[in-house]
Amino acid sequence: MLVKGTSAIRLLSVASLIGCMSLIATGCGGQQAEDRPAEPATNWSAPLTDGVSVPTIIAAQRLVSFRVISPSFGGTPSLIQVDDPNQMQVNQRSVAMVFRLPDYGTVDVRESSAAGWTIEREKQRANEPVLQPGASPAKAYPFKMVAVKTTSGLLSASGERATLQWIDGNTLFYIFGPNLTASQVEALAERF
Amino acid sequence: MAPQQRRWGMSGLRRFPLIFASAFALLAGVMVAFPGEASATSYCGGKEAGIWLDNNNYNSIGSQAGVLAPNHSLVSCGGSGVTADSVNTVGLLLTSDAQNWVEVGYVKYLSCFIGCSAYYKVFGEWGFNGSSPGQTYYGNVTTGTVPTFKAVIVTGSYNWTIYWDPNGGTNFTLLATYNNLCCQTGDAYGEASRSGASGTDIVDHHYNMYWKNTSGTWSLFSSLHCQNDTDADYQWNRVSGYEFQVGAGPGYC
Repeated sequence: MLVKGTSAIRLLSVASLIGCMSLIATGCGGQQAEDRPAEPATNWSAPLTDGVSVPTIIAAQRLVSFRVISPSFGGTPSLIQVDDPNQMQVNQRSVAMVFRLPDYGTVDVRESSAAGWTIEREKQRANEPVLQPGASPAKAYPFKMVAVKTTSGLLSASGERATLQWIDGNTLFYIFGPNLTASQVEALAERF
Repeated sequence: MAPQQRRWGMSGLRRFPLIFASAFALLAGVMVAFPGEASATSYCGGKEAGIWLDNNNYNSIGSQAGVLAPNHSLVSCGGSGVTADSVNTVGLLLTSDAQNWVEVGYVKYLSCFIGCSAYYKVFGEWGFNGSSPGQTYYGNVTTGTVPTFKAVIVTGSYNWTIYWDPNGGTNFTLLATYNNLCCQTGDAYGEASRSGASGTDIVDHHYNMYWKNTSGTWSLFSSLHCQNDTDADYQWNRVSGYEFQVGAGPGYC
């Protein structure tokens, strides 16, 4: 009897272990929704919401007030967008270019008027406390200034995804993408 | 054998709690690991969402709406902690690529350990060049109510404030000020989203959606339209130029 009873209890213990293991295992691979921002999502293939497609950089240049520059990424953009002229004033419109690059994947470039932006303001952003009361202290400080060509720019590195903006003349340049690292956006910025 | 017999040789009375606990742990593990099937497909590992915008030319300095807090159905993606959510917000896209934004609303979470329980939280959040510190929580929402949320700029600055009125009026309480965001104007929106396993829903109703122009005048949305609908399981219904609802149904908006 002792042997049978022992077996039954052993069986249940193993079962409980499996149950607990399933909890632990799925916990490791489970979703932590609280860690995921609820923000509007960027469409990396056509990033400008309500944007219109144009065939060339020259066509885009005609619709905006700042100087548009096509980066030397070694290929032409797969898509060029401009904010809809029927919805936005000329000084508000931006241009977006989408590239598919072998070593980088999807690379998005947004160029817009630099009005309102200065290096001093970028530095202020870089030094601004990010955490709000009650926010998770585990969130890393994501902004810092880095050298970009002959000036400096604002690097944003949130997790494994990075973006970089800088000012050149009257244009605000911004590189972003779904899988770009900090070193990649810095390398891409040098190719403008 | 002797040590084992001593280890397992308990009386029936002493054994019962162990047996009960073992069976409960097994059941809980299976329930959490294999949640039940329901109508909407699973969306674990990301989120499904849609936002509604007005054609206000990125000239908004404020956004406001009443947002229903329904009794969502949430189904765990498995594991422990927060395993499913449903989010409804009011906010502004500050750049048209959705890399910059500010929003306020509520989220309903499903939190699981041995069992699961759901709770609502008021939260605010912002994004700057693709980075966000995540949600900051400010209070609780009562199921079945329609609180009012508002995001508005501090005039002459790049600082944005968020407010709410739990009673659905305009007796707003300031929740937070988010400093030095990218822009001084944006495009007002309402958003609903979900993450979770099959059966998790994003039932929503945004009422009386307003935007504030640069002269300081609040106006009802007039040309509400849907964008960024990543959800094939929910029907996004335009009730009027300033009101929409979301419920289970086929197709995109």
